[in-house]
Amino acid sequence: MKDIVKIFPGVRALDGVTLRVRPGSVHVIVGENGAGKSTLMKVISGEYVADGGEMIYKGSPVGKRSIMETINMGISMIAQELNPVGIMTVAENIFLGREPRLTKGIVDDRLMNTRAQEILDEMNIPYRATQQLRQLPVSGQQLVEIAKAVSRNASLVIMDEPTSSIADKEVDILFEQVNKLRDRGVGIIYITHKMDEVFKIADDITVIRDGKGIETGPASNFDIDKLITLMVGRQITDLYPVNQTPPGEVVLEVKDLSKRGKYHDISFQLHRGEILGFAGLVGAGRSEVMRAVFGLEPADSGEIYIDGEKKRIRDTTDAFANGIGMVTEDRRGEGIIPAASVKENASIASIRKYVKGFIIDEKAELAAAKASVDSMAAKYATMNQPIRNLSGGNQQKVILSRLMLMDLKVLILDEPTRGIDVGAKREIHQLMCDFAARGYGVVMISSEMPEVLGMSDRIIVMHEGYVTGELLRAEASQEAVMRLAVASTPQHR
Amino acid sequence: MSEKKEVVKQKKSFAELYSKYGTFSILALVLIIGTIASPQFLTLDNMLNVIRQNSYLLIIAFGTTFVMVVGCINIAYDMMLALVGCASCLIYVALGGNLLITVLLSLMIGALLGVAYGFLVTHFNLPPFIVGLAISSFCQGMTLLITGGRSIPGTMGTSYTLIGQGFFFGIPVPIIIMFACMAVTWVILRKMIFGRHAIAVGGNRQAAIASGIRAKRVILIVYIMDGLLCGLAAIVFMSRLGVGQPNPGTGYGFDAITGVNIGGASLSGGSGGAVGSFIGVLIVGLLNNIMNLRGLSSAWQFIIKGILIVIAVIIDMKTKEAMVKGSAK
Repeated sequence: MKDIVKIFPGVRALDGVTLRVRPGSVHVIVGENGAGKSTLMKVISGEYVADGGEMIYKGSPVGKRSIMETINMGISMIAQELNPVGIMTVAENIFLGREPRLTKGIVDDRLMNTRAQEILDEMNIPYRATQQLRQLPVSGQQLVEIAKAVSRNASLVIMDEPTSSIADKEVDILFEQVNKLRDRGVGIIYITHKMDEVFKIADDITVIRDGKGIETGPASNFDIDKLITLMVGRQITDLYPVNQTPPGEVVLEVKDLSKRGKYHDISFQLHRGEILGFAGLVGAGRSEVMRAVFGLEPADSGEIYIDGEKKRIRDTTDAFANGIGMVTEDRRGEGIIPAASVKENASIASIRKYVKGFIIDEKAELAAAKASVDSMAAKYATMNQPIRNLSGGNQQKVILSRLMLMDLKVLILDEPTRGIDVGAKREIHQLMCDFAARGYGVVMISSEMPEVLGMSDRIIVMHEGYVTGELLRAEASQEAVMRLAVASTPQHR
Repeated sequence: MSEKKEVVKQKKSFAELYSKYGTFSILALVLIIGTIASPQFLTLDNMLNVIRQNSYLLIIAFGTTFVMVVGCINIAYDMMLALVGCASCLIYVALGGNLLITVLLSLMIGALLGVAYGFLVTHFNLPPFIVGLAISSFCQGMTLLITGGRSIPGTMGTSYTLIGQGFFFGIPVPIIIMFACMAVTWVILRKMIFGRHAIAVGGNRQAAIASGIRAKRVILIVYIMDGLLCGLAAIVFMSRLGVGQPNPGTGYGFDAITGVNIGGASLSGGSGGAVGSFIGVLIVGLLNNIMNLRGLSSAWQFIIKGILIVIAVIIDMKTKEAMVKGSAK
């Protein structure tokens, strides 16, 4: 594969990546959030078409093709989130879409089961072909996926973070199968965030950053430090406004917040006037922790203190009553009410303030909403136009003004600038400093390294549900954050 | 290229025009069709008659409006109507004619049915449609149980019939009740916090929750109000008949939902209002009226209404789609 280029509108998602996978080897690809790993895999699997470059497979160039054609060429992809048909049997899943037939339209069950069992036995996978897939653990379902690839005589298998949802002991079983696959001469592309895995399994390593192939070579050429430096080694050129407000007293304290399978023993403090960044790789559990603090998905155990007082937060109504507000990550799904007006979207949470008797005082409501929306410098035609007609950045500002109309102390912003154009992004960064100056404690979750480093007074890093470290602005660097995010120095467990 | 753009623009403006003036245009169209179809159609007597005949349907429709605003549905109206109506007749006879207590107890039964409906929908996250089937079956059984399947005499010519047949300052009582319900619905939806919360829950439930709204509680209260209004409609209905009727017929709930949908309440929630629902149900009532004036059999009336609701829903979906597409640009 050579110089693959994929351009998304506005972004060059892939910008000249060269990847050479040898038969009978495991080629690990590492990179930060959004480095372009998944895009590259989708180009290989035929889901996306590259805008430039070429792909050479078994010595001959291949062009545009469908996913099905790619599979038939011998390239199999095992997705991060498996999508099996749980109610069907192992055999039916292995042969899904190419069942052996007795005659047209009638599946030869007996032949299918025997052949599936042969494959399973040959690979030493301890399942029966007639078992229902949903009775298997996730790792077992992955093994079935591998068996499926084998049954298709795949010569290239792509695995996208296969260990992200399985337990440690199951990882060994998976690795055993991956090694067997390699010994059969299959080329394997293996994507992972876990540094300890990389060196356990890799023959070759390629580092991708900002859509570019940074370095590639045999695994023996790398160590963990080198990998981390290569993953993050970009120049930060964007300028960020620096929060000038000195931190005040502690406004929010979280103690030992835990939720099974999501996060464990999370404790931290947030000061007034402070911007606290939460960094980590996607799936580290940062959003889940904050959603618990905001009452959206309550934790199993742990305590939340506001101004030193213990509070019970069962739902968002409790959170608002205690001065905690949050802008969630999913603006369309959880932020805007699309058909409602700009005014209604801004005033919905604070509507109780504009009531005379039982009737909403619409003049007071409009005045308050307009003042708040204007203070965010949101652009709109009229306050009565549906919010769905606004750009993403302006929608985000209206949602921020919704929170500004409440009497809050803590603002949680989950990926506040995702999918927002550069200009509006900068304005929102400035607003965050303004919020801090007005005495709010601000929590920002961001998966963009420059944003985390540029905006945060203090950074808490999470990895797989644990806090792995805390960095002050002065000690924070891309390498330091990434080291904690991949937990190459495990302090927990 | 430019041609394509033109089409998109037109579509968008049609969607917006329809959402603003669609209901009124349909009303005008129906009035024109009616006038052509029958000379008796566009007379004051006939118009008042249509409103009076449909007053119980309109009362149900205001409940439906709330339910549809939060993005749910109630399909048990017919059987709820039978149960509360028959219960009210039995209570009235048993109490020896105490109208006030009868009305209060009947409304309570309606509200309790709403509590059951809302509780099943919110607490167990059951689809409102399925709950409707269950409540419907339950009410049908209860009605048979309390009436023995026979109609309940003893209300004819008593104070009970005042509600459905009486006049107040020369205006039929059902019409007064109906307009009172409409006014209350309008105030709650347009002027009160609860209305805003209901519209938010229907417009985007997750966003409403993230705005500190207890969405499940809003939905529960909506179903209780819906039950109350259905109870009130049941009293009006049985009072008009002058006899407790365990088999009052079917299709009322269907007409109410159709009318409310024509009146601008989307099946997916977040929109709808008292005035729109009034006009929407009036359109359905006028169509029934035209078909009666033309002497169409009830068989044909059902067939035509079936076709109508499909058309109404298709327009609902298409305009929503077009507006979402238009805004994505």
